[in-house]
Amino acid sequence: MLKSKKGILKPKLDSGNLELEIGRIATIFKKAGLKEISVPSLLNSSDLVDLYGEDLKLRAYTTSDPVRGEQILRPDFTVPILLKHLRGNSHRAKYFYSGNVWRRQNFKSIIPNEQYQMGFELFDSKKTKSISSDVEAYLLINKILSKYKVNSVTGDVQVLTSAINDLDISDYKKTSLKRHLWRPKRFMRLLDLYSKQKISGRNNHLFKSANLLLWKEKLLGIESFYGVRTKTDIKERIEILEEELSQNLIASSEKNFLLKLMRFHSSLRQAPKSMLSLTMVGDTFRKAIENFEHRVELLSEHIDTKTVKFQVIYGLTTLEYYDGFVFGFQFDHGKYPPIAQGGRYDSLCSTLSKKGKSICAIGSMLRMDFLRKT
Amino acid sequence: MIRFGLPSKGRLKKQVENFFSERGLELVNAGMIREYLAEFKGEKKVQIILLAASDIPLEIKKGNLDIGITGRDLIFEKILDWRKCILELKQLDFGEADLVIGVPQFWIDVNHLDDLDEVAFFFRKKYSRCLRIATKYQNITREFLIDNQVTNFEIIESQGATEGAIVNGIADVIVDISSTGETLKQNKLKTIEDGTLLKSFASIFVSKNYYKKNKGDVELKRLLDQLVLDI
Repeated sequence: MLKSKKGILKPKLDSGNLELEIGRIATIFKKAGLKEISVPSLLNSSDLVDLYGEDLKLRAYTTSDPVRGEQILRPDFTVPILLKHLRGNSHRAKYFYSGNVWRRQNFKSIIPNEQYQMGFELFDSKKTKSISSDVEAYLLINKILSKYKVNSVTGDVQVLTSAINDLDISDYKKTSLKRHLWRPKRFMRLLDLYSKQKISGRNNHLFKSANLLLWKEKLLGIESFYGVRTKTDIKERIEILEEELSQNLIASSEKNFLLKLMRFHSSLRQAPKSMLSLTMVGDTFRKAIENFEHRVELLSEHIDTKTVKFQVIYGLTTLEYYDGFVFGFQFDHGKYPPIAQGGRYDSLCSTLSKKGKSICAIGSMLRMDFLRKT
Repeated sequence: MIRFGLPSKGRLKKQVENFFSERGLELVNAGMIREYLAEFKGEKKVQIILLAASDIPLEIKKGNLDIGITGRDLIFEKILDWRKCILELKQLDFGEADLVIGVPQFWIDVNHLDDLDEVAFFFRKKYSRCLRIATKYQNITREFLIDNQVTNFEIIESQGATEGAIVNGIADVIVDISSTGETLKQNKLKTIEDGTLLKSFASIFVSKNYYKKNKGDVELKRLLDQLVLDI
């Protein structure tokens, strides 16, 4: 959460400037072939909670409505635009948006509760187009912000997930690790548990065979079951845990590699080579780095990638639902939160899309409240 | 006039009355037919207002009450960042209750929050929905579970008889107040090891705003002195 420090004032906006800036950016979007899209400000709560989990209610404004049920004030544009796009027939599309989003903020935050955002979402059905869309998205934001003194940080969630996929462990362990990439504390706990090097009291019971046998015995003696979770569900889970007992643990060399990778940062130009030298090079990781390198090469045709920062875990805790290339732009003076953030969210698309419709997507938003004439 | 809010019914009301009589303060009806107004015998400067314990936090925050006695669980639940507007004058030795997670006893594989998270994930995969948690304490529950990295859960609002929500098919897990654990047991529920959200008890709360403005007031000082007195 961004806190205001002494000397940093809440941004005061001159609406004239804001409107000029909105017009300028809309023109850039249109010239790039993007079409304006609008979505409602009031969204159905249960759809969104199902997607984001209860975290959403810590950030979004909920309303009570005895007729329509709980409604939520649009906390971002991405999900409603994706849902609207999925309802249509087209596969490829380039949209831009402009409007308010509402988010509860910590009392010290300098981000307005009602913020004006502009941004875009690029959809394509072909996975092969991903890298060129990544580049297109980054360059579009770069162009818009070129009149400001800004710097950018990039990241790539794919690098991490591919490294996890290469570990010599069961799919169960891989799934758990990937599922908690966004929650560092939990992720480290799992990494410890699965490598058995340091086991905290909180989770050591999971893999104790004695416990599992005891549970099985106990389960046989129970007669009263109620609720949705069945006896079979419990038995299945115990069996999975039992099976895991005989499965590989993460080797210490693997764990060290993962930890090194998570700490890795360099210039974007340097990143592909340096990451390969961290060793333990499996096929999936190598492929991810190849894609990464290709993206850097394409970007280098337009910008100096030596001056762009790269950090493997950039945005992992704040950029929810991104699962590939991510980026953020910040003012050089460093006082404000990132003024633009974006990234790839293919798995969100596949979660939400109906069968037979495969969609890849990348998008970015601009915090207009912080963009002023300089 | 000092406006003092007290719970209007239940065990908490009796315990509060005891607490006062130990300090020589006797609650009497305000002399009218209204049972929700009272005063201390021989003390005209304090207006006692009887209301639901769960309404006391917000009324202090809004400035309708200057002082109030209620459970800490209710303060935590009803007012985010309550320490900014409310002063905790004295912690009392009654009204003890823990806010705990209750799961069916036959969930023998669930003993920690990490288990709960994994089961919630299985729920998502198998039943295509989140794990449902029924509670009156939505805010505390949401914050606690997110802080502890539990995912794939959905909170179902329950205004009472929460312990029945699982048998009724409304929820899979509950979060509720438990003082002895007896109600949980009767409903074939159990707690989990790291599943205590809050250890609650009654406290005396004072509006910060009111206190700042009336610090010098002799009547207020006398009342507060009497309240903090250890017997």
